Amino acid sequence: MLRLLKNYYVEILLVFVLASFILFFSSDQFLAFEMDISFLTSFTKNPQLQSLSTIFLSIFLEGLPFILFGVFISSFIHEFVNENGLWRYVPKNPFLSIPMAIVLGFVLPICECGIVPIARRLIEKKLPVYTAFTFLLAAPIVNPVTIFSTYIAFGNDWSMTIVRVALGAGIAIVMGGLFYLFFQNIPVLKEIPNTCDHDHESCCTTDQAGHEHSHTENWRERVEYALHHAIFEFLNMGKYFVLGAFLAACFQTFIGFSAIQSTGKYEWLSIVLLMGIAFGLSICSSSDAFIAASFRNAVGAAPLFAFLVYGPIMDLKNLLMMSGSFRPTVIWFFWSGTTVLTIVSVVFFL
Amino acid sequence: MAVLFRITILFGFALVLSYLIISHDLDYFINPRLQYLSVISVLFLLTLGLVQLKNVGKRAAHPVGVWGYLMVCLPICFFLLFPSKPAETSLADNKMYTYVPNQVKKTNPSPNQSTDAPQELTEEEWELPYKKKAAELKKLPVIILTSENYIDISNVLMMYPEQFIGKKIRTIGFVYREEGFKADQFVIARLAITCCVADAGVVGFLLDTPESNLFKNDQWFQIDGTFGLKKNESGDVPGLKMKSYKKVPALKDSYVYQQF
Repeated sequence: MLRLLKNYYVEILLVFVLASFILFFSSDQFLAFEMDISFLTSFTKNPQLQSLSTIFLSIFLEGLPFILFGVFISSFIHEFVNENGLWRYVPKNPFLSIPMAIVLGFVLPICECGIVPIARRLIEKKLPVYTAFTFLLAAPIVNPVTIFSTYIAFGNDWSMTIVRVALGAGIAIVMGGLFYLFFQNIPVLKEIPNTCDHDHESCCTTDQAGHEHSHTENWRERVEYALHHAIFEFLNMGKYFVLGAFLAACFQTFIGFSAIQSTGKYEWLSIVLLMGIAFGLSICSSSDAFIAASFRNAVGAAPLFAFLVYGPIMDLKNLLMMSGSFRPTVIWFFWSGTTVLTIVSVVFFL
Repeated sequence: MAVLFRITILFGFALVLSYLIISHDLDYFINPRLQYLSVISVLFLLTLGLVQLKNVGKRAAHPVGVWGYLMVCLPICFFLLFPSKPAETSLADNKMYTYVPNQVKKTNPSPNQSTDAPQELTEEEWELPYKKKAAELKKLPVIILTSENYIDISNVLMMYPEQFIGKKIRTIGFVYREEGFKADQFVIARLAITCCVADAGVVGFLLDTPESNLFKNDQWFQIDGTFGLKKNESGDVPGLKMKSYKKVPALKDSYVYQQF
């Protein structure tokens, strides 16, 4: 039975989705069967679930264009920008290369979802570790898509956006410096007998093949390859985004703002609370501003920025992805460093 | 087989979005001003769907996983199961009464910016249309708040309250009470939306009247009164002195949208 499920889950799911579509488009008849089916749909009348659905869909619909936008840009860059060419121009001096990694994050707009494999590949190609980590930290925040969506989410307000980017870039620079001091000659990558880790094996064998091909193929095929890659990036990003939107909607309907409000007296508590939420939700940095905007009325500036800065830098799914690529010591260092720096920067600069 | 699933998801999203756009139900979820983005995403999704159709035989570039597919389907399921309609006023119970529509920019926490000279300049430029609007409003015998001008006008009222005290105002809204309100207090409120329902906040005018028990929570009223400031623990809030009231049916679209 289990094996049957395992082998045919996709087909079963497909049937389920198709059935839902058919039910939807024949909703008149659907309603006529009231006596049979009504108990199944009765839960949709629950006002709390109704608001849950409204909030969930609204977060999803609002963030969707930005996810798609980010996926398109990142896939095209993935296909058309040569990583080898990029890091060769990185200066050797850390005082130059760390700021340059920030600029790189701006030029190469990749969400935190796509950044971990890229940072790993860059380190594999002997890019200095501190530069790669600065890039890893900076890219999700110092990112045109993130900047644009933060600007829109906070009602066309540049000051929020500028403070967010400044704090994020500052933390990235400090972390880069710390990595320069502590991890210069220590291997950071997980040793895997096969040079291809599971990430690469699964996603990048085809990637690599695509790359090899693409240099000899014309641009139309490369565009098509980039678009094909975008589908998977969209789905992989989408699943975390949908989960985040759903959890955020649950939070809003069942807990509400009173939870945040009650901590208002102790600012440090709401800072920690919002950082915890940012960590757990693991929302893509290109749309987390919209979720942060919903907290805006409930919390002060410091916790809000803690959410906005910590979210893109460190979250659950990012940590999982990193644990597949880097050594545990690096991850502990990275996690504690960014957490402490976020708290310190938010408390002292706001 | 997963290919078929991907095609369903991509075209399904495109279908749901186009349905919402064409039926104007999207207004219940996000600010109409941002809907051009949704139109663009329909195009994106259709492009991706067609590319997927063309590459049916190709291997998956990244593994997505069962839970990934299930997760991505969730919005479609919710859309199919729940009727799209504006959030009930009960949603307001989880929101906060913000009194002043979101971000009047003076109150914005921007320590880095406030000292900049160019910022001051733009602040004044930014105020100009509001000054003009205030002058216009002062000439009117009665200020009538509608869904379209609600946020604009209440912004102006709260920016220059001293010019409008005693001014006649007519507004429609639902009755809303927050914990800690006195027995004779309530707010005649609307839900203000900046981007999407998730950032909605309750805005409105505080009233105190001995007849307060006539006004049940979530009932809709049209209220005529004169503008004034009321004190509250969070400072000055817009208030109304009630002259007359009329029970009205709930509006179809209970939101007011931030214009920008």
